[in-house]
Amino acid sequence: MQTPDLLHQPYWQTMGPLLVVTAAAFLVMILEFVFRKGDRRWLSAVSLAGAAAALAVAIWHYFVEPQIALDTMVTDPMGNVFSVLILVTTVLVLLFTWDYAGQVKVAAEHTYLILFAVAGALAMATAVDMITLYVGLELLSVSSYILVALRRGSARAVEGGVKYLLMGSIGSAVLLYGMSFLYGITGSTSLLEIGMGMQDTWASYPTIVLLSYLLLLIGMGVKLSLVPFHMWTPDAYAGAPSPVSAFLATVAKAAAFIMLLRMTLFMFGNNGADLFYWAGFLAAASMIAGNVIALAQRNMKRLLAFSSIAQAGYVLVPIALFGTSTPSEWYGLFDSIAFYLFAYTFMTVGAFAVVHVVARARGTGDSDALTGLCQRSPWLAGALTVFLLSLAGMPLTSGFVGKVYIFADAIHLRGIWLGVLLFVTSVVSFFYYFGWIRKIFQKEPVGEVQRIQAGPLMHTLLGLCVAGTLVLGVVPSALLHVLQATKWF
Amino acid sequence: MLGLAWTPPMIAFLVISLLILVCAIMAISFRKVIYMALAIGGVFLGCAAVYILLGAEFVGAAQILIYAGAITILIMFAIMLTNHEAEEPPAAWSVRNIAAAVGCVLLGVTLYAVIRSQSWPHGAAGADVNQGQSNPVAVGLALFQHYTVPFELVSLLLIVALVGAVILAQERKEDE
Repeated sequence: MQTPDLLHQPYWQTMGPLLVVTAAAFLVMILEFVFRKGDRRWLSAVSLAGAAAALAVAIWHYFVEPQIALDTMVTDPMGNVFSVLILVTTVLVLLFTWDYAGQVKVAAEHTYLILFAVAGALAMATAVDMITLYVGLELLSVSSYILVALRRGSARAVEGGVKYLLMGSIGSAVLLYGMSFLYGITGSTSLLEIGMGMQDTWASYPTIVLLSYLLLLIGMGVKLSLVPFHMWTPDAYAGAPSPVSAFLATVAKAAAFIMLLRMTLFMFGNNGADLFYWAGFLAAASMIAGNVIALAQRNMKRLLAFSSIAQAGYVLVPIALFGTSTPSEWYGLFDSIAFYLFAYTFMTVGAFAVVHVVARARGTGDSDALTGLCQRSPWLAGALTVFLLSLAGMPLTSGFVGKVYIFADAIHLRGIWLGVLLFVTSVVSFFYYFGWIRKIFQKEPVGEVQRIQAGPLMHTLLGLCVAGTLVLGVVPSALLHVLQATKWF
Repeated sequence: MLGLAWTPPMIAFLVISLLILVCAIMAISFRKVIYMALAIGGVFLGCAAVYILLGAEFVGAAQILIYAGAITILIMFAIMLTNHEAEEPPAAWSVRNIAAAVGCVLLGVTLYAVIRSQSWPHGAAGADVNQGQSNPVAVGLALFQHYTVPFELVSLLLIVALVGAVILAQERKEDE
């Protein structure tokens, strides 16, 4: 290991968004210390501005030549696309928290905790070193454990937080155990170095490589809440404040997906045919169990939690297909994964937002609270219908386009059983999504109808989410052209 | 026997591992929280011994100072200042516990079989992984050169942990 020149590294070109988000987090932290009195909701606006600035930097990075700093942080198209995805989602979630903090008293610290968590997520998207990836993951996870338990007074929040803490720590430990085997046989923590020597490593130590791959997959499976490592998910989502649930379902998952993708492709890419089918089993289990258990859920946030488990299963299908395809076909798989995650972001944040407004106005998280929503607020009813149709995968929505691409990949790239399973489980999901839509358009049987109001911030957020869902559904080429023009690696 | 080379370090390793395992099992099977904390202290000490055995004296010393010393004592203080009388309900045999035990044994057997199934790489005898530096110097150079970025990220992690501890423990008027 020769001495790197610490002063002359392209830090800004590789870690720009990360630095901006971190700076914004410290700024909000200091402002929160200084201004202790009065209405402090403007802190959310500062966070939002920070996230937007980081988003601008991330978009600029997309046009920058790939570079590497300290053999650790890279700016490559894969990292850039996911950084943009993470920051777009962050902007939506921060809008949501801004609205939320106006109605529910929560510790003002949550605004910068979210930014620190996003810094961790960005490190997971841009690092090519196992230690850095792990520290980024822990930064995201520890912030998330705290955010889940933010409403300390509520027993459910504490239950969700403790379960998430315990399961998440076990997941991290399993991941670290898998990394330690790789370090033991290669003597390196750099994904690039391990990947270059993987042919020889695989020839000499096949079972250890398989074991470490499985441990990495299980560790990330806990973070992605794949079945059978999903036990914490419904409790954590139901106990957490709604914006935090949306954060866990979108930002945390997108970051875990890019980390899983990077680790498996960079290190095990050459031996994919012998390893990656294991991810297919997890995808199948998540699609089946997520959708079937969701049928029985009455609580709205628990149902969205199981639905997010199933959605993670759909995104895992292309990851399993990397094993049966040639590197020239990998571009298409990247496009499918990135497109589906963009689509998933808009519809999931939107669905959590409407569920939050309805549950708060009706005083119950039960899905019966949706009854008569089209009379109470046609706009909320319409928006939620769009999100649900998209989650179910109906035409003219982004979810449909995303699913079609994944389905086509599966049929194309010798993963027919996964494609069929995706189709069948999507049909199962119609039962619960359309159950909600039926309730929304039912007339309230008795009494006079109380209208549900939402603030301007909530309207902005819902407008953005509906626009995102419909634009990606009607003119998917707007995003697909960008993705297809991306040289992924 | 067992295909192991019965050198003194190997015997020391087996004794230390046994100590760690016993302490770990005591930590999860004691019913009083304060005893659990003590048993965890034993695990930390055993790990320090393993590090020293591996030639990482600096990490071993840091492990004793920070984990066995500071963290165990901190845990003990936290327990004594809160409800140190707390006791876990006695362990009971249930289907879930038995299934968990069977799963753990299976996992252990699998891991053991995989680890023992291959001959591991052997470093050349007398190889100097520290490039001629002493142990702490090599750790410091690695931290501040190659691993600068994760080192800085860990500082963010510590801030988050501190803030989180304050948020979760602080008395608030705004609690519902």
